[in-house]
Amino acid sequence: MIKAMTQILLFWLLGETLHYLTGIPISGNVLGMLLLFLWLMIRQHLDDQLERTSHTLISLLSLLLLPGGVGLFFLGERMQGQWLPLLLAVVIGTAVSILICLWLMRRLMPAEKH
Amino acid sequence: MELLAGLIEHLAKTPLLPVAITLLAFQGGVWLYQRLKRPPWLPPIVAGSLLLVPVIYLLPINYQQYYQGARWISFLLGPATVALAIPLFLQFHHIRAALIPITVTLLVGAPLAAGLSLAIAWSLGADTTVLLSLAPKSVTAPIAVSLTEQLGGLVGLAVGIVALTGVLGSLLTPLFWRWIKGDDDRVLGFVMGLNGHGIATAQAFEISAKAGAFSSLAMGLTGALTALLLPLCFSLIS
Repeated sequence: MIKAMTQILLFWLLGETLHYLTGIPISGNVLGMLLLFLWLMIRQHLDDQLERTSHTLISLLSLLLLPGGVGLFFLGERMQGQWLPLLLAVVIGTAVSILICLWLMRRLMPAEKH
Repeated sequence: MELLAGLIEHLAKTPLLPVAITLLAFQGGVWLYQRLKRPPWLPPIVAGSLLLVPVIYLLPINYQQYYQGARWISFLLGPATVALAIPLFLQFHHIRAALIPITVTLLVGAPLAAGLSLAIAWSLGADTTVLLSLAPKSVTAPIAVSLTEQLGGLVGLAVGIVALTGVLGSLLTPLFWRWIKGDDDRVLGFVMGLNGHGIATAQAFEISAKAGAFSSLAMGLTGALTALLLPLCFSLIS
């Protein structure tokens, strides 16, 4: 657990460092994720501890997002007159996007081999 | 009564009270979700928020003070984002089975998922902060939070939009799929993950293991691609 957590934090640290030094417009934790992914692809090996720890962290995501997420209910007057356009945009945009993706991918996908 | 007010004021100064009410609300949210037989329209984060909001309103602290204390929890979003590399790595071999359909759908779908909503909101007169919080809507929430902070949107709004998009993705994709008489779980799963990230992926695993694996892959790829391209697009525009 601690070993894997250290590994994850080191990749985050590496990502932040890269972000700061190069000015790439991608946040440090996302860069850390991409670096860890590359590292795993090169090594072609994932140890149990890292797999278990990442599973735990990801299963906690809903909880970790809760403090930021409730901010939705404390936006106050900043959102006056914005809710309707926003809601329409999310609902219609998502629905049309799903339909196009389904149609496109079904056309391209070869039949499954059994 | 005075003693009670003093006690709450004392507790609110430490991270203890914010962290404790967050954990309690989350437990309540999970309980409610299980109790209602796991409805796609009420994932634990939505149920938890609905329980947490009245508690914060009742306590003599404002949202900013609550958020300061609860940073003990949100700090872990950093490592959790880095940890998303692991499911991406584990599902990556599925790409070989269908390289072209996956690549094309990803390259068309990820910009489409963000772009369509942005175009609608913009044409209906939404202001810039709202647009910046809307842009990462189909990306898994921890990445969306980083993106929106970076672009200058509102974190709470972005998380709310991401959650709503996830719920829509889990409800609409299987509905449309039956409507166009689709039968390939790989396509269904991939489109669920591309549009509805983690929330839809949890639902895809309820359909089949294969749908779940493809949804998980699509979530990772969409997150990585959007995280790379969105800040670049915005730095070009501004």
